[in-house]
Amino acid sequence: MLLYLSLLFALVVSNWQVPLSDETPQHVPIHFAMDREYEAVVQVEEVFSFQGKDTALTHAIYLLSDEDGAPLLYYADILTPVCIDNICKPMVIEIYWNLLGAYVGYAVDPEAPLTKYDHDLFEKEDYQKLHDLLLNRYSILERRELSDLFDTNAKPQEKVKFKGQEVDAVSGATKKEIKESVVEGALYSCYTAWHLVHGEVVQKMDAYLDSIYTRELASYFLDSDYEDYQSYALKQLNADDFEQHLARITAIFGQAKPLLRRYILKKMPEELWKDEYTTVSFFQYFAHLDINTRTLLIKELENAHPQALRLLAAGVQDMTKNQLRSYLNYLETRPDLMDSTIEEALKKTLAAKDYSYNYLIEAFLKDK
Amino acid sequence: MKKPQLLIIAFICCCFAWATAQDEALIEAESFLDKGGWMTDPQFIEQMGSTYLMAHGMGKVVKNASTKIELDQPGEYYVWARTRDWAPGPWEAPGRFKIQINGQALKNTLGLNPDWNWEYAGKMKLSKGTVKLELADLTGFNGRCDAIYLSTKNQKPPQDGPELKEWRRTRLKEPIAPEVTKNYDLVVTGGGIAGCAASIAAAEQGLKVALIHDRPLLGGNASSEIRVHTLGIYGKFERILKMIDTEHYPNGSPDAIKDQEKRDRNVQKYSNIDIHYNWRAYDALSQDSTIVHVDARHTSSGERIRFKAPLFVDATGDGWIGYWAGAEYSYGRESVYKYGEAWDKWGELWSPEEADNAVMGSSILWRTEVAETPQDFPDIPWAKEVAEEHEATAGEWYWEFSRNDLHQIHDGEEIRDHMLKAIYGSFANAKQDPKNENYRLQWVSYLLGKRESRRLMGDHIFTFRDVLDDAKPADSVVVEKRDIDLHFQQNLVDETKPDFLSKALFYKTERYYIPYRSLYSRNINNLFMAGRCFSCSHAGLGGPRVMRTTGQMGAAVGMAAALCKQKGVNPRVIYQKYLAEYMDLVENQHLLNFKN
Repeated sequence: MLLYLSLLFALVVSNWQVPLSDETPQHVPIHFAMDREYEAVVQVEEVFSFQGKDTALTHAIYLLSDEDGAPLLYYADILTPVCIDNICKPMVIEIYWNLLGAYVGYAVDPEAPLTKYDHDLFEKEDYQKLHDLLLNRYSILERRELSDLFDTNAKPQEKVKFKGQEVDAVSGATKKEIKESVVEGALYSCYTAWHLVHGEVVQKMDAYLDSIYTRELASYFLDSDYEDYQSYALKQLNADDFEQHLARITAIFGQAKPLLRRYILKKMPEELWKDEYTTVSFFQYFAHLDINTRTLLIKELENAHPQALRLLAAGVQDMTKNQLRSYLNYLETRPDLMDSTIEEALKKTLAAKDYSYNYLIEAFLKDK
Repeated sequence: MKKPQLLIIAFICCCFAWATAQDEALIEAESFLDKGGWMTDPQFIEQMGSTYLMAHGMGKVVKNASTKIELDQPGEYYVWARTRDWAPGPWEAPGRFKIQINGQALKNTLGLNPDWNWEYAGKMKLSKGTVKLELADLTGFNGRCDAIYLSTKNQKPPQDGPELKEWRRTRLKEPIAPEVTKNYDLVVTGGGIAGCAASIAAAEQGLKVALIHDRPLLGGNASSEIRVHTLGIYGKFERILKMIDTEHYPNGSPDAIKDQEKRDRNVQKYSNIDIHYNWRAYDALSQDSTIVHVDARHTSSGERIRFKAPLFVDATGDGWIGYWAGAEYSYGRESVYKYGEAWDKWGELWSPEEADNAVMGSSILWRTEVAETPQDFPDIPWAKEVAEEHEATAGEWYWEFSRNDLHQIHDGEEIRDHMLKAIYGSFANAKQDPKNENYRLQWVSYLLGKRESRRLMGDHIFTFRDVLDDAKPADSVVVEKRDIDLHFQQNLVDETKPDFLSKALFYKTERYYIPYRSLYSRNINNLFMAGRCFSCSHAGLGGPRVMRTTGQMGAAVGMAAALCKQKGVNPRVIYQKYLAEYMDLVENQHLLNFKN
């Protein structure tokens, strides 16, 4: 039924299609998660099209580039039906993705603002909420069908059954999560938009990137402040490239999220650790890193320059029990690397008496 | 043995608490005759050496545990307790308690040492005769006591390791091997859904089955002690699985109690299933790659039994039987290239380029209720380091913890304690809000609900590739259509998130199949496995780890065991020579006609 309505809708609204040419993109984004790259757009090229979920409509995807032809963004000007109870109305929204297919922002025509089910206009915070939802690639909406969201015949929720007792029931939690993540009164618009921006189009953009990934783009990615660009660029590097870009990679490591830090440490060619400068460049971050990354750095001790041991000795109080054990175990296997700097640092930690695992240090120093 | 027999335990407790005619006495806390409000916790024996008692009062002081011992010699006794501070830091330890002797508290407060060790409680002059010992909780926040030692000599016992083990064994006068041996057709270790299903399926085919389970209730993660609802489909084993599964109530719901009763009742009705409640396996001996016996110990009395059988099922979840027997196993994530398990959409989050030790985490479910009057909850600075500013009045499956310096088995106690800090701390934060003043904790599990640990390796290793390839081999005994879902910690992609919350990635699938070859060990001849320790990769575990699927595995190996007995062969030969017969048995579930 929905498909039929969509087809019907497509026929009816086909005349509404805005010719996309040199006027594209047409409106300044309301919300945009990057650095206003859209302002540098000069060239616009239609590269492929995609189909939305539950509709027969196809949408053209444009690659937006700067005056030198360097790719910046993907863009689509979308007109799609939003239907509830067999009543459909159009939603017009311009969507921007980055070059990896990640949603980054959207625009709407001020003459055709987004509306809710009851025709109320979106408020300012509603636009923000829609943006937040679209940025969430893990949204619960991914696994939900429309019928799940509008099942009026659904049994009463556990919430009622367990009245008076706060239970994050599965269905209750789901409903709660959905409610919190979508614009109230515009669930279907949100659902439709989320599936448009995170649907098959993402795979198509990802595949298309292969065809435009030049040396210049690789450098742009690696040098950019966007972590997904950095991550993509790092994945394309071989061991030689890694050494060549080590300074940049070290800087990225200091700023990155734990997931990317882990990737960098895994990919780092073993022989690079032998260099003192490199070792210090990474280990200097120890105190500011998340626990998982610290564990990985401690694991690198056997490859790293001995200076790492000294750096860590001054920061053992940041270690978990198992991390401290690993550190001391390594020192035990390499007594030749134990020096007065390390010993003094350990004793200083002991003297401070505020580290929970001092008893391990004490036992280590006693056995030494 | 259908249920723990109180009288027998009482008798055995006397054996497990040892007092000599000389001048010392060692009392295992778990052998206390009256445990009061203290819980028996056998989860971490392999790491810290013993079952222990824990004052799990959710912030309310629990009733004293007590027991009586006989002293033959009067004298001044020095008293130690083996205990620990489970949240060491610059605050008062959360799990403090005292020892009382004949109603009088010893001087020192206990539960202060940052790792398991003997803490000195004080000394007291005692007369010859009966002495009453009590554990007096001071906080309600998980104080723990492994054992109490009284001696007229001021000599602290060994801290841990083999030295402590031997010290303990000699004082308890334990022989090297169990003195009782029992023989069965099949020994199933682990009474979770997989172990229950295996036992039922084998018993229905006439096998004499021992089911060894370290809790007083069957069901494992589905039990009313952990309360995860069962997910997945029944496959070919609907009749069996409906006897032991759960309804789809919210995780943590007390509705689990109703299903608990159903499960225990249904397994107990098989006269040829010898359920050993509260027995925990601690060793398995293999000779020529064949398991000869499994040894188990009662979690309160310390009594031991040797279980012999031609066939064994490892349904322990952690793969303990296989581990002790020398079965090959894996842990952590394989490289994406090893089995071709890539899902480009999620890249490293799904399957890494380079193998690592990341695994899905363990959960502790919990539940609150709203009282009619305001409820206090104490200030707990020791929980802040984990909960930080996070506020919550309810938990769910995504309250899950995994970290790369912690092993889901070896560091289980720290993982459990981390989750307790997360729960108590988040609740304490929520209680600062006046709108939550009537909330109180109704139930917090103290048992880890694990998702992933050791995976024993079979002739086939089930992987995400099998799902992608839509593989349906001839020995497909388990079928599932639930999404493959793998979890990761939220703070991996967003450092502002608490470290105890996870996210799930779901891969939609029409249907996938697990072959029988994934359900027996590739190098231990007579070992089946069912449950999360079946033969799979990390990504392969993502789907079939849910409990109706693991139940299917159990039922499948129970039937295979019966056919093994009938043919006088080991599990692999069923695949090699009797596959058609086996698949017919699984399909039609007729009763085998044994030729003994």
